[in-house]
Amino acid sequence: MKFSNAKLNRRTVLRGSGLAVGLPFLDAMVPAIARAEEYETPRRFVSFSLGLGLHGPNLFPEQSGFQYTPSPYLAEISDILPDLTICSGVSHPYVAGGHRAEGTILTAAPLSRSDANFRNSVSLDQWMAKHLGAETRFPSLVLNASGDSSSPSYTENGSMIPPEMSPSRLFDQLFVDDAPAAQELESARIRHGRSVMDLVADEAKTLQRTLGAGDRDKLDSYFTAVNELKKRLEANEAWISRPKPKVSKPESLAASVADGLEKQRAMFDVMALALQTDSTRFITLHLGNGGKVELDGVTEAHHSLSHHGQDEDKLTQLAILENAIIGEWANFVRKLKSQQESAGSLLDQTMVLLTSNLGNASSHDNKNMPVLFAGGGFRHGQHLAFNKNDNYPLPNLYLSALHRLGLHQDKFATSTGTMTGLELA
Amino acid sequence: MKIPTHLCVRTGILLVTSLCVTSFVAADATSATSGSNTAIDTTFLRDHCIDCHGGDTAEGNLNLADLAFDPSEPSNRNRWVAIHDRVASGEMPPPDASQPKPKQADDFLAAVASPINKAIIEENQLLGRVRSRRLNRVEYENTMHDVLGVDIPLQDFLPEDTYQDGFATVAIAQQVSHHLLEKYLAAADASLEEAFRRANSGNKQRFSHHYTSEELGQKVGQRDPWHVGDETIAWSCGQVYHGRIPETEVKRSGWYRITLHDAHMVNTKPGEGVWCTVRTGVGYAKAPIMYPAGTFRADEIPREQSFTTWIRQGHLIEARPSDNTVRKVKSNNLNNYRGSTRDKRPIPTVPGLAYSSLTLEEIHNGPDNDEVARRLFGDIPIDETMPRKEAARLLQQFASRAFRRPVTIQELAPYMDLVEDDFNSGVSFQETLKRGYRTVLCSPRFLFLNEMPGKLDDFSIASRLSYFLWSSMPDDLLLAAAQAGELSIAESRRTHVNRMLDAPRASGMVTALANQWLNLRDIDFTSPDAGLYPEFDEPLQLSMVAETHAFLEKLIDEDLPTSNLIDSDFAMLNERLAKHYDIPDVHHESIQAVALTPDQHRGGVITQGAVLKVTANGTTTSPVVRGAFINERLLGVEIPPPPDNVPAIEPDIRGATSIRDQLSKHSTEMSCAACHIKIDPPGFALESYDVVGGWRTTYRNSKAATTNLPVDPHHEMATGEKFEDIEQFKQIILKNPEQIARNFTHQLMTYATGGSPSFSDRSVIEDILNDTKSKQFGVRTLIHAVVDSPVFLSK
Repeated sequence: MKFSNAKLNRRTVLRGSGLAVGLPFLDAMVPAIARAEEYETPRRFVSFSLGLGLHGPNLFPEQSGFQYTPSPYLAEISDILPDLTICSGVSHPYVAGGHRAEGTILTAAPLSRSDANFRNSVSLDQWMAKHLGAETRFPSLVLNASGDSSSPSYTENGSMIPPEMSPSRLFDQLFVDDAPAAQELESARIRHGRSVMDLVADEAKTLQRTLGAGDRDKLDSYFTAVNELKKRLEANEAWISRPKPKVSKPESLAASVADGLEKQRAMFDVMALALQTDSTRFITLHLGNGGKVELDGVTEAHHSLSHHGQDEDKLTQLAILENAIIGEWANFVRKLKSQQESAGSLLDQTMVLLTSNLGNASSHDNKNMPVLFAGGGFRHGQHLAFNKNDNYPLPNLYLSALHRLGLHQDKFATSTGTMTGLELA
Repeated sequence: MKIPTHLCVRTGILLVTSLCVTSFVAADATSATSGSNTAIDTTFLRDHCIDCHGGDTAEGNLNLADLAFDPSEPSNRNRWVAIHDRVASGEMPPPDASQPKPKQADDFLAAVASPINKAIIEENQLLGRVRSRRLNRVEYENTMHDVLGVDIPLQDFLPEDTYQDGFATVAIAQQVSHHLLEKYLAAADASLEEAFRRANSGNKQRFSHHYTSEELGQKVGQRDPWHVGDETIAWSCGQVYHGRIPETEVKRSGWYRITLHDAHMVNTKPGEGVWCTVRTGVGYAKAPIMYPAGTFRADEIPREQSFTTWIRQGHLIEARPSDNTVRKVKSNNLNNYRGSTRDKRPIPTVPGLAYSSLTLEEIHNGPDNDEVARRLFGDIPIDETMPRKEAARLLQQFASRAFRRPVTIQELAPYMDLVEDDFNSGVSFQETLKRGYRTVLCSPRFLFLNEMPGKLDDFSIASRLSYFLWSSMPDDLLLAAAQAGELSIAESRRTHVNRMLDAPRASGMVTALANQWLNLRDIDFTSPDAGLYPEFDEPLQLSMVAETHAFLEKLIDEDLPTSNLIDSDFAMLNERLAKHYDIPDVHHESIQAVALTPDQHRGGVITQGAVLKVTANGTTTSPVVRGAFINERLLGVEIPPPPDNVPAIEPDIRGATSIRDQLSKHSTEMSCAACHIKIDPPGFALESYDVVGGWRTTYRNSKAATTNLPVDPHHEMATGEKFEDIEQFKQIILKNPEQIARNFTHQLMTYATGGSPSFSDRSVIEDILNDTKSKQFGVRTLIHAVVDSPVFLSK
């Protein structure tokens, strides 16, 4: 594992100064390490995905372009509208299946309703982490705020990555050093884990010989997984002895945190810290099946409200809830915007996506997905309106995001190019 | 995969040079069938299919002009199976097209079927019909508990299972990643930590406390129950968390037995039952999840109520009436009651759950510590001075159980090398052993069911049996039977199956069938709209699930005919369910068989509350969703999903349009009609049941609606047979009990073997049906028949 000098230095500086991160620390440090232009500030990607969509009529503005009148939802976050692009009339081509499509939010793997043998493909964040994730303690973070243990992050063989669901556990992993004894124990555990993996890899090979050709693929993927885990364990071991960045604990973590909004807030707070301290560069946060949320004016569970059946009362409650969900996301965007790095604000360096597999949760429609895309140094402040009846491919946005990170590939999933109308600032 | 070139002929050539094609298909058909009818096959396609399914007019995306016939290639094979089935059922050619003579159709079907069967059988001989499958979450947890004797929950360590053909046991849907292996490693560590701790600690003091009435009355908190005299009372109310008992917060996660003493109702009429719940959780707004420990019926007679449940650290107990069918205190003025001697608020007049005291005991939900020690260390006391060969012996014993078959020292050599390394680097005896076990528990021999192609050996049969019937590993008796070669013998296998079905662990299969086949795992997926369905409460939901479990159990125990799945003259009910179903004179707490009359609209699984709830969302029902579910899971009719470009119906509960109107526009379109003709009949028949499984004759629409639209369940079957309501619908289905049994056998086979029956397995199913017809396709009889079938006994 290699570390760039810049980062090592920064950690040393951090530790030495005892500085509570949350201040614009990079600018202060950069001159000591290198001239700003020599220091390449890392680019990041964050996705916030919803399992229940957002009510379209409240979200999408009527006019397109830079001079649009904000929709009811957007009016609530008008201060950050210059920092984001709202897209309408976009979706994943050949993806259907309602809730089942939750797994394709970031993979865009064609999922026909008639496709019983569906196999997922790699998700955008994991593809990024695979190529660019090795430099940080965590190649990526996969998080869930609704307690339903689902995530939109998939490995290359289409296996879902189980999310971390506790913000305080996440905080500990990122920022709390284990006691030396515990570190030693963990090191021993990891070392032995690697020997275990060596052994079971051999076992898989033996089985492959005895079980015959039919199971070759199965055992192959097992074998690959074993080797990947070995690499991971190796990397983890290297990190164990390195001190974690010191930050002050966000207030949102203080109490026990309820699934839904509160957990969402706590997760966002820890996520901002994770990005600031360069503990990771790729994060997904998922809000899946919505249970009951403690919120004034909301008496029904989120999922139940999403099946509003055009009932006025339910639509009112749904709007309160969705406004609150978008509001937490907007706070996160604001927080990134307020953090200065050498190359500009943390938001300029971080692409922040909000989307859902459902364009209409009431009818389980996967077309016309809600898409808000902030930061990353793009020219924002516009409504990119595509055809509602013949949708534009959302994977094109994903390809744009990959290019922004320097991954200049021709295609991601079913993309047909980079996103039309989305340009660098 | 290599494909013999002569099979790769594209029938498309047919359009260009039909002579040439005839000879090719003929060649193939000759080798596969009797040979006298070869020319008819191409004629059949040309005369009856190509007009609509060829070239530019490829209806239903089927272009026979461009479709190869290549049975060795699975997806191509599936297409031809679909073609075969459409013709076999008479669906194709459609009625308005020219019809083939029966012999023509039969010959065509045989010419398609034989090469397909041949290809599948060859493939199965070489590879087996299923791939090695991984233990799913439930199986993993059960197996770890059996291997180590521990009882800690492990499912949360692992990601959710993937489902295929309705089940979480199907190998082709399972993926492995390093994230998953990391989870297995963590789960193994947690389990071993717990097992070694327990094996070493002997009978360490566990928490046990009797909370007297006085103790319970000491704290005054917002949502606490009231302390009136020497009773603790939680009132029937709408306030969440009322009834939480702060004194009971546990310091350590674990299994506990909660006992309420002298639990009874106040403010009720004699004999009036009120349903209560015991739940655990943090019990305040910031952490709203409460985990049910159980539900019970209370009346004015004091009784002891006991529940066993896992309680997380920092969680406490809440006990209260949770019955939405009785009166409630509406306001929030139950807070902070300071005891009847000091607080002068009047005693509420609504029903209240009163108890004199409460006992909370930490327990083990399984073997005791001595047994855990025995599973780790055998019968000899273990100490650090033991010779290394003892470790080898123990590891061999452990691995033989974990791998579910005897393991030789040679096979264990790599494991022993690791152990040897540990010894050499000074690791203690116990720690070395623990590390050895850790390796065993991460091995593919443990995590997968590894079967060799061909006929299964006794140990593989033992594992198939135990995961089928128990969702866990074989017990010592079954392994001994495998060792003795008894499981390849039909008679003794039968004895074991009966023993296993009669054991309490057979609940493993019942739960799996309910959760997977009938989707009851989704029982919490939506919460019913409290405004529209105020009667829905937690005791009802818990009872619904228990009803379906008890029903399946009864069918198995008493070998009742499979047709009971569609309709039965009894239902498994308690008082809460009976009230919901409007069935009089049922007041027992436990789920028991209750005789039904037809006017009560129940019987079978299709009209059980839990099934009706998981096939609805919390607000509306859809005949499409329910219709597809009943077809696929109970009638054995495969419903192709709607084409991707057809949007689903936008639900509307404002009372202006009925679902029938919305659907009729959709279903009358030609492309939709072909499927809806099958989907809609059960869907409409079940419109008489609301989202929580209640009977209805009018829809409950939103408050703003002026009228409630009437329910209209009448419809007609694909055959044209008409029905007025669910009862008549059931009668039509019951005319063909064989089809119900065929489907159930298919489902059992998928679940038990980890693979959906293939085209060539169909004849095995038909044999089973012939053999079990005389026993009216009894459910237990079918289980035996599946176990005895070549499909179950071969990989």
